[in-house]
Parts: sequence; structure tokens; C-alpha cells
Amino acid sequence: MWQLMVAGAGLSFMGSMNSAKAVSAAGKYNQQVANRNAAVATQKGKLREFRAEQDAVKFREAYDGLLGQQTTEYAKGGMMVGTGSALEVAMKSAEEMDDDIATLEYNARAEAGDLRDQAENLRLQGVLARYEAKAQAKAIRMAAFGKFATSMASV
Amino acid sequence: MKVPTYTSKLQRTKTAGGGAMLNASMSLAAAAAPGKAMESVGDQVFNLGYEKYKIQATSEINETMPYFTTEIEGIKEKFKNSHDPVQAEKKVRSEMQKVYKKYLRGKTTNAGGNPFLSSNLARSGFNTKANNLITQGLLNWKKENNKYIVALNKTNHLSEIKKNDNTAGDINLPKPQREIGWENNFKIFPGAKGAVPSMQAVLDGKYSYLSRNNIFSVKEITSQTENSLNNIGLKITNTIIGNQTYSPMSVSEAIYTGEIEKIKAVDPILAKVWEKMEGKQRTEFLKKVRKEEKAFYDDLKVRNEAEDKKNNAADKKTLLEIFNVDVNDENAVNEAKQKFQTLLNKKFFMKLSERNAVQKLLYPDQDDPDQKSDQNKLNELEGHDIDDTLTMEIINKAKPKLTQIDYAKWLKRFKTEKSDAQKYVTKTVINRAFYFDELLQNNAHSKLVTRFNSMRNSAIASLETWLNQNKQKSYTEIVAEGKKIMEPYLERIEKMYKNSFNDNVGNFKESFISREFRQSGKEFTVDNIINFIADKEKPGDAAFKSFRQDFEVYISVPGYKDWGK
Repeated sequence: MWQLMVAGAGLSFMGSMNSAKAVSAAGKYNQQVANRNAAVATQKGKLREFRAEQDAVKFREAYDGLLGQQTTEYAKGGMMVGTGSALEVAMKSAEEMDDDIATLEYNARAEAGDLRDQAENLRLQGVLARYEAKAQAKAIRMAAFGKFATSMASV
Repeated sequence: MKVPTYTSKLQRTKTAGGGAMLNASMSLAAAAAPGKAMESVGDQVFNLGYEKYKIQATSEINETMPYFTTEIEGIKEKFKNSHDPVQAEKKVRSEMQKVYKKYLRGKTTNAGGNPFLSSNLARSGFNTKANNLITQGLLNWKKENNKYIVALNKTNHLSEIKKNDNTAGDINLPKPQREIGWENNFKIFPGAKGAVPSMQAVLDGKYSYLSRNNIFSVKEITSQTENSLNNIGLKITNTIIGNQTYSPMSVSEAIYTGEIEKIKAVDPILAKVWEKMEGKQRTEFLKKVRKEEKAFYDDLKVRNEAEDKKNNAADKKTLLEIFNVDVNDENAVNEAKQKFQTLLNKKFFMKLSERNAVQKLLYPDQDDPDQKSDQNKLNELEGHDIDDTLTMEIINKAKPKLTQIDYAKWLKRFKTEKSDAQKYVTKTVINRAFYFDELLQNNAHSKLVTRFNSMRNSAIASLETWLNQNKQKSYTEIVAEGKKIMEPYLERIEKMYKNSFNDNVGNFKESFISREFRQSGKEFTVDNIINFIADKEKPGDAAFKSFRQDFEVYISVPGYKDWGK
């Protein structure tokens, strides 16, 4: 009789230990996924800033084109470029272009910052998932030891 | 000139790129499931084994318990009603524990030689059941034992009560001892209740003690007291009736009167018993005594009649044997004489003629038993006896006219007369002459005592010598001889007292006491000195006392009043 009880208790113990091990592995996997997602978010942030810089270059190129047309038109009109109203209009256009570039850069940095935060959040979630799995595994092991001890005491 | 330029511009994506978020995740529960399944199988296997294990353990316990219970019951039975119940309680507990441990440690085996309890579960289950059994068993046993202790205590007290009853009721014991027996049961000492129990038990009688300490209930006390009184009373009456100290039915008659003094006359403790009894108990007691008395005397009557009948038949046979004796055979005659004496002692002869006939047969030389003494001679002898002049010579002269019995009677009387005369002379004529009684009352005059005693012994010796030489003298003659012997002594005694007085006066004069006496101018006579001392003496005054004792001795010596004038 007691042999059967010992075998049963052993099997039960082994099952519990396997459960704990599997839970622990699952936690580890879940953390790895979270870490990978965090890396993606970080990557996305960097990409967003890089694109803002590219947009600023293009914007400037567009402004240069506009300034050439203005100069040409003023020259056609016989106006002195670089003086009087022509200068004021050119200055005004330059100032507005600077404002837009600043806005462009600001937006890109803000979005990149959000993406970095998201990445950090994902990493933390991964850590938590791992911790939760470890804790659950530990609880399963403890319960398994307790049950085994109780079972053995009954023999 | 207008130069054509490439104007088409593709809008770049603002958010795409850099990778996509993965949603794949592993469920912990799902991961644990296979292990759980294995655990579940393990549990089932364990439970299966455990159920079997439990069944086996229960079976073992069920098999063990009857044996265990029997042993426990045996222990309880063994120590039940022990003579030492306190020790028994300890032993029961220890023996139960021993048996319990013996089973628990697997030392007790079944028919197969295996321990009754093979597993921990069996031992654990047994432990619970056995503990309950022992605890409950011990409690019940203790309860019974406590009842037994109380009962035993009562029995011990009852035994002492019975002992006291027996002592009080035993009329053959001295009265003080019986009184103690009575007091030991019935004494009530008012202050006893406040004393410590041991003292209280000594001070109080049994019934008071038992009642005050609630050892006996009121009902028990009442009933037991009645028993005691009946036991003592009936023991006394039984013995008195059995001893036939009083006439038939007189014991119950004395009780019937109810007068304590009359009952006391029969037996003092019986009177106490009667006083203690209540009305109804008295009636019942009287009935019992009457019945007992009647039964005893009825029985006695029957026994006596039977005995008389038996004895009478035997005695008649003896008488016949005496009559048939061969008078020529001396031995046979002697034997017949002995038988005759036995019949006389037993007062067998109802007829005088029958007795005389036997006497004539056995004693042919003796006087005729039917003959009577001469009355004149008897009167003459009586006269001499009254005058104290009876002598052997006179009796011998009268002998022919006297029967053998009367002659023997007068001889005896003469001896008595002689003895009385000797006593009178010794005590009155000789001893009184020395004033010996006065001298012996105090320690003074030791020299006189010694000398007088020597003189007294000398006088008594002279008397005895004379008596040996004159055995047939009368009372008067003996007294006269005594006085004659004392004549020379009397003169010497008076002189010796006078000399002693003179010595003591000399001593008195030399003492400080006499100073005041001298001032009174009185003469140194016995009366004056004694009166002076009587006036001055104070209790415990040794000097006065000594002189007083010295001089008091002289009072009653002839002529003492003239001494010292």
C-alpha cells in the first residue's frame, strides 16, 4: 500500500515541478517578445527623427526655389532685390520658413519621445511577465514540496 | 524660356517602418497544464494507496481495540475496591499507561506474530481511540474509586463506632473504660467545630464529628445512632440476663418504669442509652428486652429441667451404688464416702432420713445423726460465751451431751474467741498503752518510736509465749494476762514521755519563739505551750509547726496536765 502511495506522491511531485518549469519558461518567452517589441518602438522613434531631418532639408530646398522665383519676379518688375519691400518680403518668407522647420523638428522629436517611452513600457511589461512566471513557478514548487511532505507523513 | 522640371513628389509615410509590434504571448496556465495533469495522476495514485492504507489501519485498530479494552478493564477491575484506594489510583494510571505504550510501540503482536499496529496511521488512529478510552476509563474509575473512598471512610468510622459500642456495652469492663467508650461516640464538645480536624476528632464524639463534617448525612446519623443505642443497650441487657444477676424479667421491669435511677441501678450505661432514646425507639427497645428475657428464661427452664432430670437419674444411681457398698471393703467404703460427700454438696438429699441412713451406713462409729444436743448444755455454753469465760475445759465437759456437729461448732467458736482476745490485747491493751497511733502521725519523736516499738514487740512476744503455754484459756483470762504483762511497761512509758517532754521544753526555751511566751509569765505546761503556738502560728511557719507536733503527742498521756508546773 505504502509503495503505491509513495509512487503517487512522487508522480504528483514531478508533475508539479514540471508545471513550475513550464511556467517559468513561458515567462521567459513572454519577456523576450516584450523586449523585441521595445526594440521595434525604439527603432521607430529613431526613424521618425531621421525623417524629420530629411523633411527639413527638402523644405529648405523648396524655400530656395521660392526665393529664386521671388528674385526673378522682382527683377522683372525692376525692383531692387535686397532693398526696400523686396527685402522685407524675402525676410518675412525666411522667417516663416524657419518657423515651419522648427515646428517640423519639434513634432518629430515629440513622436520619437513617445515611441521611446512605449519601448520602455514594453520592456517593463516583459520584466513583469518574467517575474510573474517566476513567482507562480515558485508557488507551484512550494506547494509540491508541501504536498509531498504531507503525503510522506501519512505513509 | 521655361525649362521643364520633374515636379512629381511622392509623399513619404510618417509612421510606417522600423518594424511591427508582435502580439504573440505564452499563457502560463497552458504552460503548466501538462505538469498539472501529471500531478493529478500522481494524486489519484496516492489517494488510491491512501484509501487502502486507511482501510488497513482502521482494520488494525478495530482488531486491536478489543484486546486493549480487555486489558484496560482488567486493570480497572484489579485495583477496584483496594484497601489503599489512593495508591490504587496511581497504580491504575501507571498500569494503563504501560499497556497503552506496549500497544503503541508494537510490542503486542497478533496471532501471526506481527504487531497489531503496523503503520503510523494505525498507531495514530489507535492513539486517539486509546486516549479517549483511557481518559474516560480513568475518569469513570476515579469516580467509582472516590465513591469507594467515601464508602471506605464511612466503613472505618462505623467500625470505630462499633468498637466504642462494644466497649460501652461490655459490662465486664471497668466502668471508666465503658464511660470512655460511650463518650467516644456520643460526646458533644461545643468548641470542637472551630478546631483543626485532628483536634476536633479528639474533642468531639464520633456522631458529633461526623455530623459537623458532613461525613454522614442527617439520615445516616439518625439511623446509625439508633443502631448504636440498640447495640449497646441489647449487649448490656443480654449479658445481664445471661449472667442471671437479677431475678427473671427484672431488667425489663426496671426499663419499663422509665426511672433513670432504677435503670442506673441495673447498669449506668444502660441508663444513658435510655436517656438518649426517643419515645418510639424506647418502646421498641423495651419490647426487644422483654422478648429476649422471656426467651432466655424459657430456654433456661427447659435446659434446667433437662439437666435436673439427667442429674437426678445419675445421682439416684450413685445413691444406689452407695447403699450396695461392701462395708468390709475399706476401699469401696472410702469411694462410697466420696460419692456421699458429692451428693451432699449437690444438695441431693431431699429427705433427711435418707441422708442419715447413708451416714449411719458409712460412719457407724459416729453419733446417730438423728440425735440432738442437750438444750441445757447449749444454754450453759451460750452463757459462758456471753461472759467471755468460755474455755476448752467447759466445752469438753459438755461434749457427751452435744451432737458431733454442735461440738465442732463450739470448738470453732472457742477458737474465734481466743483469736478475738489476742487481737484485743495486741491492739488495745498493748499498742494503745504506747500511744503509738499519735506518735506515728508525725515524724517527730523518732527516737521514742524506735524504743517504744522495741518495748511493744517485747510485750507481744510475752503474750504469744503465754498463749502457747495456755491454749485452753478463756477470753477474759487472756485479756487479764495481757494487762498483767503491760503493768511494768506502763510505768516506764510514762517516765519516758515525761523525760521527752522535759527535753522538748528545754528546746522550746532555747528557741526565739519562747521569748514572748516568757513575757506572758505562764508556766511551761503542755496545754499552755500548745495554746501559745496555736495563737502565733502562721501557715508555712516551720518552727511553730515543729514545736506544735512535738507537744501534741503528750496530750492523752496520763498526768500530762501536771507536767511543767
